[in-house]
Amino acid sequence: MRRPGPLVATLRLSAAAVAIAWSVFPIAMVVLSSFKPQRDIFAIPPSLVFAPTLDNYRRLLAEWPAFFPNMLNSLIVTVGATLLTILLSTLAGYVYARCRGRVLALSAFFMVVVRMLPPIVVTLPLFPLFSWLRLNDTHLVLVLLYAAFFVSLSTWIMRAFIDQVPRELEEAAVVDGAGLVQVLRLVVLPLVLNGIVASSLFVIVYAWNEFIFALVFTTRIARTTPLVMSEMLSTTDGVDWGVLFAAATVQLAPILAFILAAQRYVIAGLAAGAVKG
Amino acid sequence: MRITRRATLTALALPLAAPALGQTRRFVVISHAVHRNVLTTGPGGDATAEWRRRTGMEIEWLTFGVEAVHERLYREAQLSQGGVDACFMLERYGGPHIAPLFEDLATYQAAEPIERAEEISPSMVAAHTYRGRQVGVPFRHATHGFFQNRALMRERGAEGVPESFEEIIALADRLSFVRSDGSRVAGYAMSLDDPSSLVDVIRAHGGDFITRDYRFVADQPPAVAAVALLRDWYRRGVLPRNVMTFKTEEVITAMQQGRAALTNQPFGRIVNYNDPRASRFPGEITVANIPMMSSVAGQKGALVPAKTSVWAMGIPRNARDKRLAWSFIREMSSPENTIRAAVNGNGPVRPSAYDDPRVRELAPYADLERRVLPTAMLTLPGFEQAGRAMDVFMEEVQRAMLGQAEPAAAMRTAKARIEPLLPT
Amino acid sequence: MSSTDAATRQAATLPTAPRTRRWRAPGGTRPAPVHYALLAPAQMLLVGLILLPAIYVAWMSLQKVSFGADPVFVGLANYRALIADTVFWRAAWNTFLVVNAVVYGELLLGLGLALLVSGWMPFRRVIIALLIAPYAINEVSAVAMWRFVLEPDIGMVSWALVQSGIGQLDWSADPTDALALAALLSIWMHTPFTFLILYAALQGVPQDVREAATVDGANAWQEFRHVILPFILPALLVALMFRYITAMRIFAEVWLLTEGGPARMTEVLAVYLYRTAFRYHEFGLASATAFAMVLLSLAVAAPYLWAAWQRMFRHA
Repeated sequence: MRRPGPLVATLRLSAAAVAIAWSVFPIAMVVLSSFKPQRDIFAIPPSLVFAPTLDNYRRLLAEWPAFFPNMLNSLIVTVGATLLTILLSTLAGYVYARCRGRVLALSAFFMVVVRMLPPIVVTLPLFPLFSWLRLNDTHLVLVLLYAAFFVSLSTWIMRAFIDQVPRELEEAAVVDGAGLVQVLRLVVLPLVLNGIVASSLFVIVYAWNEFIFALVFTTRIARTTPLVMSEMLSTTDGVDWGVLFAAATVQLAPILAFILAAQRYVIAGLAAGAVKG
Repeated sequence: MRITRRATLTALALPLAAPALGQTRRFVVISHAVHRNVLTTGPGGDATAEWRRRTGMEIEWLTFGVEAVHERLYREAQLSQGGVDACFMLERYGGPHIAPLFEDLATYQAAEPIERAEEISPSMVAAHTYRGRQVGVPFRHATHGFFQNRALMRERGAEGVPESFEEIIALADRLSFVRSDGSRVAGYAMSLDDPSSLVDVIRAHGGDFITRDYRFVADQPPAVAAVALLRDWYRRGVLPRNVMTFKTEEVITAMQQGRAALTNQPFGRIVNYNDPRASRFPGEITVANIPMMSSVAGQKGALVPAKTSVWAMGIPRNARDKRLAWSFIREMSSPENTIRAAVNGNGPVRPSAYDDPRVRELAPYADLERRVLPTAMLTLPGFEQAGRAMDVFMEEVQRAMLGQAEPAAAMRTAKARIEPLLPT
Repeated sequence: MSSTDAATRQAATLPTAPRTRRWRAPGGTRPAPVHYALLAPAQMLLVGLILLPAIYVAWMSLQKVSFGADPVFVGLANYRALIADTVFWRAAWNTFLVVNAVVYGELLLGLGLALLVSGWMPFRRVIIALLIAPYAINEVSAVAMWRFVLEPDIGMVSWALVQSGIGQLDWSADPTDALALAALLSIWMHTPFTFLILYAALQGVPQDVREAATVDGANAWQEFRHVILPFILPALLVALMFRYITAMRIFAEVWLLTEGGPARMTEVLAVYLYRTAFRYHEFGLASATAFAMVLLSLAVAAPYLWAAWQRMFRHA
């Protein structure tokens, strides 16, 4: 792209600097605070230059031994929910992209409207039901719930992508003798891989940090990290902010890493598909 | 593609198998992390070791935050088949409406009594007894004391321990100041998300909030005077500027950072305030009993019936093995284990525990706490609408503090709104 | 792909034409049973985990349900209690204000950022990653930090605001300031969502069309309004619709900041719901509140739902 004149360039860069500062500032503070001794975290004036300590991380490991096993649970649930969501929304998105019909239109509308119900109330009838089905405290419960609450958005996104895949390619494959499943697997899927990454981003961030369903439906086996962090907030003798921020930093790191790694696919993907509807 | 599909199917199938894998019998206890900690770790050792050895059971501690414990406990207790064997409950979340979900422990006590059960503070037992049904055996208490920051007092040329609430008011004034570098100190910090801190002030004036027999009395002059004091403090900056959003957490931070000088909190907090890792004033913050208004008590040195909260152990109605659960409760309540837990940082429910040298060594405030224990009172007795009543009360108190209503009028409104919520 | 390009280039010359032309282009197959089979899993998940529980919750909203007692049928009493509760109406009004502030704030900010970053920008990928970061952080930590830097008189940002003459937010006592801050927090946390969608849509605007417009003498505003906007309008609608739905449920930002106080003046519907369900354990009333929220969502999002319906589903 042509570099604009110096004035415009300076303005652009300044605007970008402000935007970055706005985005990153509190996060930087959380991460920095995790390396400060607890009494310095909320000290006024806050010290930007200080001797970092790993004490908070050490205590995180010592006082909350369940933290990392729970993170594994978070990982399992996140991956499971993402895979399920992608699978269902790709299939559904394909149908909405390729077909038209009154019933289809209504069902697509239904997918949006049904999301208006606050997720929290869904726990009221589902807790006794899942208990009875012996599904409480399993990863499956969370995988199903997270997928249910994100399949709508994913379907819309996948629909937009699949719209961009030319029908001629599918028709050519059919002529070559491919069944519908093979068409989907060999023709459509590779071309919408970017869209899949885009959808995944939203689900992953949600599932990784989700709290209410994890609180209600898990106890020990499938407990996820947000629960540990909420317990840190509700101690009887004051919140250990150092440990909490250390936990928050550890919780954030994989997601940031994923975003950094995947965002070129996300952006390229969203662009190629260009959520034009 | 194939690999992905196989992996997906496996990933989906594994969790389904998980419940089958976890079927080995464990003794499930639902509690706050603090109960697990005082019973299993610390200088006093593991109080559960002997019981576990004898019964061959492994204890599974399910810990949650304070509110979440009860929320999960009650939901589990409602199921036809429960997964929880024993629980720890706080009195303020109980009530006659919940009591039927738990076993009446009096029958168990009669059959297999707790060792020297009469030593356990009767008022604490009463806190978990509703309409004659005792649902909990007290295990832990947290009672309020009065904290002062000595360093800040020296800075302002104040000293001594207040012997009347009037002296506290004067001291709070003295300790509200702005330094030359612009940093500000508020004389008094308190939490305003629920009445637990406020009731001490009300009771110091000789009033109360809701009595043990469920009468709302905060519209009486003493309570109104307390609310007026708060309003005055807020206006003059004796309370921190954003005290309206203060929960316990913010009070602790304010004290640790020296942004506030005085407060009323559980005695055990002294550990936080003197922890050099967390506090900027280790060794400088001391605790005493909260004194009454001498104009009300007629003398100096009278103690406020300090706010206390009592955790108790109970057995859900749908527990699998209730006799086993009772043996657990019985063992944890023994005099020896009470002392062990106290050494590990628990507030003991047996006053005799304060005589033990190990406890005295670790809790220098042992005598202070023991002095106020006989008269200590709950924030409010448990009942179904207690949560709503507390929210309404704080709403009216905050309105008075903000100047939207006169304290007397606000308390009259509170009475009108809260009385319909009280059990008949 | 080339056919799309040609169509797009043709379309670009007539600013209003693109909408009609593009919609007619892909015909629709009539769905065959196999298509319904592909659709079924997603629909079943929604029906099973959301719709059926919703029906049960609707039933619960007609009862008085709590711990320790059997449910009692009370008809519309819960709804009557809601209507009579001034706190409910204040919460509804606060929610309405905050949702609109948040959705449009995010729209403007997301669009601004998308335009900024899609123009000339060195280190674009890193910048984008940093701009997305707020979306990933745990709410509690984020709000704790924001509270700290915005603490009146002593927080860094408060201090900066005072120095710059803007004055500070007295968010612990003034409900307007508190709601403004909650909205700001929400915008901070969720703008990445809108930004991502709009940025991607912007990438879809063909470069040659933009350059043609500049050559024709259009200034930046005209270029935006007549060339770019039509291209990104569908994406805009998607983002708006989903954000409206989810923003109605704003909870953590308000709860962690003020818990709805002081004197419940900053309460929003999700906080009201939380109190009713998790503090008071009145599940019938909580269910009624949930449906009130659904109704409000429908009312507020109605114009966008209607627009979406018109655009997407009229072609049966």
